[in-house]
Amino acid sequence: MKKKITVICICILCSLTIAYADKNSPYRDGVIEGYIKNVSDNQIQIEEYDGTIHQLELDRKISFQIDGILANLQDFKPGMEVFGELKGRRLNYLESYSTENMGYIPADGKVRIGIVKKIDRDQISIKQDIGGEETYFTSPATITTREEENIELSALYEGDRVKLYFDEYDTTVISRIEIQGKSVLIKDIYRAKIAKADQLEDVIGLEDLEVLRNGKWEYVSKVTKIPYATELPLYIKGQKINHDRLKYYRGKTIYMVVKNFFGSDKVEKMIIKSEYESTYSDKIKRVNFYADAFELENKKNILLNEGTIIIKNGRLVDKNAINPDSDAYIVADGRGGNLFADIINIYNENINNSNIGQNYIYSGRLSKILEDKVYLKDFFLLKDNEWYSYRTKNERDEKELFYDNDIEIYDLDNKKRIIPKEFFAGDYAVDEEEDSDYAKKHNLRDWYGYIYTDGDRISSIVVTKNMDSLYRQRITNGIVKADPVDDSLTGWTLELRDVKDWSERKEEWMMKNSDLRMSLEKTMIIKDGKLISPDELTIGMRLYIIRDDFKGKVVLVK
Amino acid sequence: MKKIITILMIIAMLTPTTIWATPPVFSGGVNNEYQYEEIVFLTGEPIKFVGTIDVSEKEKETEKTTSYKFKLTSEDKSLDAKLDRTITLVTEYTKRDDKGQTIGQTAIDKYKETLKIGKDKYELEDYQLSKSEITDNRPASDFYSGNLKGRKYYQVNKDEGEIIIDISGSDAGYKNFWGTTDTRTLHYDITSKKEKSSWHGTVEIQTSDSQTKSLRYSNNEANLSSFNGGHIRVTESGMVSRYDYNLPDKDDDELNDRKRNKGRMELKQTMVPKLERLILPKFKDVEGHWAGNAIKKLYSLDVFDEQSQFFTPNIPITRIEFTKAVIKACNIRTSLEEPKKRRGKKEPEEVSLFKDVNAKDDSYKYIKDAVNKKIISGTSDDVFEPTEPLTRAQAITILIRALGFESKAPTSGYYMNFSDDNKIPNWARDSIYVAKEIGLIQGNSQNTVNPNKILTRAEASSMLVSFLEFLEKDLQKDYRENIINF
Repeated sequence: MKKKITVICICILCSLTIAYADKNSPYRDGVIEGYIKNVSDNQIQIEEYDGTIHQLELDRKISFQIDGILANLQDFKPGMEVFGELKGRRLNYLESYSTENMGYIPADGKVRIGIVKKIDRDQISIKQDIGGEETYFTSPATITTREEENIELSALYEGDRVKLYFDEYDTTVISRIEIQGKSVLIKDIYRAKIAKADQLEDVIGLEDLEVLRNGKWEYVSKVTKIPYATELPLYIKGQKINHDRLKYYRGKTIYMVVKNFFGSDKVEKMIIKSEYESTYSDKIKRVNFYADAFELENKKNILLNEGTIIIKNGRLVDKNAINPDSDAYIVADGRGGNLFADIINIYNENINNSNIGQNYIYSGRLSKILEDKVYLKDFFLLKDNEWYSYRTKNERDEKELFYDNDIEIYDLDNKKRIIPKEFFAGDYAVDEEEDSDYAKKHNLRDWYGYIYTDGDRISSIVVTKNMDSLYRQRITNGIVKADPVDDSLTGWTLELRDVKDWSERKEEWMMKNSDLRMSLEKTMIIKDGKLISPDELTIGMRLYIIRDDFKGKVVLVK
Repeated sequence: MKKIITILMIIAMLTPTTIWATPPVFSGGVNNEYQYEEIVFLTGEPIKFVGTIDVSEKEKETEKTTSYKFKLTSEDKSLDAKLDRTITLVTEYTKRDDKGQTIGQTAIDKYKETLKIGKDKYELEDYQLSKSEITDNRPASDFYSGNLKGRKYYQVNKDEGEIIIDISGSDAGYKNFWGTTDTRTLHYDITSKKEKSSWHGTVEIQTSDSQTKSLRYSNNEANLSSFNGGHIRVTESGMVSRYDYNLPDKDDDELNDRKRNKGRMELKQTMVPKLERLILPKFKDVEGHWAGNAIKKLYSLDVFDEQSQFFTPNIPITRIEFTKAVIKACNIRTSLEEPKKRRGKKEPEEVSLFKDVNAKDDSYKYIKDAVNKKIISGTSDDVFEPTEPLTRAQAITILIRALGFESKAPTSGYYMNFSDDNKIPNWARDSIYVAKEIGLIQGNSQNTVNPNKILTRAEASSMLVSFLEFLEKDLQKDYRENIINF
């Protein structure tokens, strides 16, 4: 009996031991963790953390995941750390991790394409091609290019089309900006009668085509056809219509803005005239975005809509780009007091394209030229299109401007470029008031300069012996009508169209109704902060000009 | 005699047809059916030439021979200038079916070029070119990118000087049923060594050849008709080119290398559009429906083979219906539709991949191809559940896999700013991320993407039409305007 009890006890004890061992096995827990030892066709060998090796059959409905992504058995390799779930003695789920850098995208891996709606120093809001508006941020490391050329971010305008690149998937800091080149610019504003609309090819047939020049419609051609883009909506008197209904408006007048599409015109946006045309060249006094209306200085109220063609800085912009105090040429449609704006061409120009730019134009006497500094005495600063005078009674009031090897200096009197060393060593600034013998002996006096700066750093300077009378000067903006001509009598001359002069009394850009000819013989011409020669000006460029009647003094290519 | 005519007719039929897939040779020229034009810089001045181009193509399994023949004269008739050029390019393809990729190596086989301007004659003495491109063959579209290097040596009046043009460039393009675009960027470094004068110049050329198909609706002009209007598939093709040059300027009729003539010239040619009328949709329940236009478009394209007069837009779409729709919408030729190579021998009977889909079923070829192309998978190894509905996440995944874009998502472990991000299944996360990036989907007003919501037939139609518009327009814009204009 005792023997039997002993045998039973031993059996129980043995069975207990087995039970104890099984409690920690994966088959009991239903999970297994460890490293892959070997992978074969329908089996996988896993070494648990404690060193136990298990050869596991795969369940028919097994699911594999690596980094949360569905994977295959072939993706699992010996050495990988795994977690598995078992169904019975078969593995029915296996997961592992492989990615070291989670959420990584390569540099420039995220792209946003759209139209710049707003620029506010380091914030750029864009209307995306894929829909929606987003605000992104620039940093000092942001690279800016236009037509593959590295440029300053301050060259960016509202209405520019941009490609923004990001280095991280969840960042709003732009690593690189590509700005659309010349093709973004509006080439012309047309008016014509609709003759035919070919919706199969998106081409509009037109009669009596006219172009807007100097505030007047000028004849272009009797019959023509132009392809049109359908991305932007088509409106008539505030009502949106489908492009395929354009054919029902044959005989009606249509206004169009065209861009250059590889050497030929393409209509970017159009609006059909509903009733009678009125035109205004005036200051926009107030804008009410809630009521979609604005008031001109002459108290005329005009309604806006999504179809209104709004142009600013030569680019198509959204209605929220209209700022109060903008000067504009407006083509309105309607009768009596009930007017809709068909075209708003804002013609304000400024030295800076947005508040990113900190460029200034100075004019003054070169009191002192040091190796890296210039001091201006009795200088003028161009602010809001007007020269502001700064009298310097004391030496400490003189304007200190810095320069470096990248400065561009042009001697207008001798018609030559000079290098910084010559500028420093030359007689451009002398001790006039200190009764310097050298100055007296050589009859030297301080020279004067027009200076284009980036903050307090001089980008370009032109120097001349005699000071111009700034009060005679006029600030003008316009578009190059034809490439400049090197005339045998007058030297380099330029013809401009759509010219506006700044009126100090009215504080408004006043539109001229004729073209303007201008001499570029003694002119500082600046493009992208660099001095350029007159022959580099080309047709269609927008210019900001300081001129003394026929003589151009400073020309800024916008 | 009859025999000779027959042989001649056969030869004429076998003569390769003109192709317009990529910009011709590497000169930035553009053409339509009738005329070819390009800018030539050999004299140090940009001169526009116009004339004709004949393109012939012979294609073997792994090799393509393309021959171009140009006969051009100066557009400016006051200039006595003539350009004759014959070039044959040979491209060898290495297909990597295991990766779904193809590598193409292009080299010059034959060349002859003579330019006569007045008394001067420029002859192409040597032309070296190496071009290599990689094509990623995805189910809905092929995407490719390539690079090239080359050099041309010209002799001026036999022994009066030499002009060397170093060429470098790159290609980017795509090709699918709905469109094809090839945008090529070229850079010329021109060195002219003549006895009297030498000069240097550079030219940047961007040229794009594009074809796109779009659906247009045309009203029926007559009232007393059985239908109000229908869709037309319009195929438009065109080439554009832009030259930015920096050349020596003229000084007293002589080229002065210190003075520069910088400028831009642009060319454009379009073909006459090709029109195809499509079948008329006549559903009773889609007029006025928010997705009505999308449904009608897809029906016109034969994407839905609905026989009933009711489309029932608000019921769930099934897995098989959506799979078939994607394959048909992209015009992906299924393997079972491809011509059989062996004739006469009895093919072994097809065994279905899934036990719930009969291999003889009309829909089976779509399922088989979609599975083989990894656009969709069964719910388990041998079950497809063809009549089960599918979720938005599943539909989006199918579309993104068809494009092969899922690899553009970040490495795993990222979040999206949808408020229901936590509901996105792991397997669909990459596809939903990419779909949002390319504008195929957007969050709704609550910023949710509703990944697990069952997709209705109307929602599926709208999603498919957005997908087609991506293939039609967005790709063209990205490969043409977004490259050339920036």
